[in-house]
Amino acid sequence: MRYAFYLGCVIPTRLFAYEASSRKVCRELGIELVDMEDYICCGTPIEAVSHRTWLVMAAYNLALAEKMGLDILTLCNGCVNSLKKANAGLKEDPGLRKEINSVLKKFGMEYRGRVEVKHLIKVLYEDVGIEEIKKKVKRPLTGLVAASHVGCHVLKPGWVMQHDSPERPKILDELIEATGAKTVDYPYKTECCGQTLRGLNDGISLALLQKKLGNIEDAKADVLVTICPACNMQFDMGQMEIRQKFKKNYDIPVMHYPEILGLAFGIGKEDLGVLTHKVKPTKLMKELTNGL
Amino acid sequence: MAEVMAQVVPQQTIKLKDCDPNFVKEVIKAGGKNAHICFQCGTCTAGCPTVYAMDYTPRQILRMVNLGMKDKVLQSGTIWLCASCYTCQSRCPRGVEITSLMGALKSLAIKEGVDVKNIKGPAFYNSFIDIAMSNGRMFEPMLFLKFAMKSEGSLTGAAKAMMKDAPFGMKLVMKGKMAFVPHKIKQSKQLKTIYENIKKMEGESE
Repeated sequence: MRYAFYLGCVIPTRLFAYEASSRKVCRELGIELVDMEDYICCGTPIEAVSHRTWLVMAAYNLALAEKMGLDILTLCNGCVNSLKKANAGLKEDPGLRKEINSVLKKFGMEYRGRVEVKHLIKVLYEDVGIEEIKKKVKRPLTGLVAASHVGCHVLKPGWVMQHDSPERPKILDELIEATGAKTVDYPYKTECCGQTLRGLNDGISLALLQKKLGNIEDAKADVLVTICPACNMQFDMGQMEIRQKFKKNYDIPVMHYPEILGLAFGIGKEDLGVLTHKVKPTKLMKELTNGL
Repeated sequence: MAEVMAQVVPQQTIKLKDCDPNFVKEVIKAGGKNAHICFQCGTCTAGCPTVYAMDYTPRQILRMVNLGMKDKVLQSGTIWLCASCYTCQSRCPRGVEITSLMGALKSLAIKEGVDVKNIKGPAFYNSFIDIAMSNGRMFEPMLFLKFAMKSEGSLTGAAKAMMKDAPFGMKLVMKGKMAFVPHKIKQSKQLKTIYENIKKMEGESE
């Protein structure tokens, strides 16, 4: 299992816990991550403004991986959505590929359509498998009740993403249960967290967030597990903002999936960056270590 | 009964002379694939998480696009409220790429220079693309600055907006949660020229 590791823009600058825990977990499972030198932004937010610029940016990264002879593994929902959509378009339409390649030529690059793009979760589920993961669990997280938020962009549009059922996703929950934790269902599980409206319309962004947090609170989850940097920041920092603005304290720790998995593998919390989140999972960590 | 109906569905006369029959083609070309085959079932509106705040629902926008009501569509607040969650696009039984269509409408509104009061969308997207295309990757402190400049329209307004966010930004930098210097890729110069070329190409193909 060897992949070109595409980190995107947000993770290396804002969410080092996600990167650190992913690298450690992958090493443990024998997934080799080859860093992509000089990758560029995947183009997601630019898609809305200039369709063609977006395609060029995505194709640049795909061509970079093709040169390395590897498929892409990424941790970000936005990146996987952008790269996969562009990849599908470029693969099925040789005319479009030719047009985009005429631009890539100026970088001395070409994309022939031979790369696949996968989210880390999909690699864990398909390439490694639940059984293999269970074998590596040294400290099962028994007693932990987790709610999952998969996020929109890795699931939808379903026919392009081919990740999981867009309406009833189950991969992430199965992976969480592999650590020995329990998962809970809650209403509007697949609904948007509101992050994409940040800066554009904060009022609606927060309204969407509160709806989700309310449902997660009612489900009595100890922790919320995410697999997207944008969702994670929205849930984590958004709770701070809600506390200041509306005097409502949800106090739900938000963690990246590899952190949960790393804890189950027996990796130390400092190595995983568990305490870098805004909502500190202090109580949770205490309970977990007591039970061990 | 007729009175009640009139309240529920405000009736408007659509004047042909205000309509642009080529608008739907323009939208499809900008990324709104299959817009012309929408059969108005309303699945998009039913699943939309932000529809409650929109002036026109996604279904209405699609009908208006097909009727060629260009000005009303591009001035609508709806297109800037799309959270791009792809629920509509995933569920559409006709394969209309609605989320991408909302993006296409954003790009057309920016190109036409439509100025909608209190909507920060154009400023945000323009700031983002400027930075991404000069560095290769996103750099958030720069994004805050550019976005504040463009959305507030003046230096003093921008300074005020920046001051509001500054303590938070500093906290992020201190905690090592945000980089202080941008990462530039090696080929950033080529990237910039390419972006200029694409802009020219898009302008010519109209």
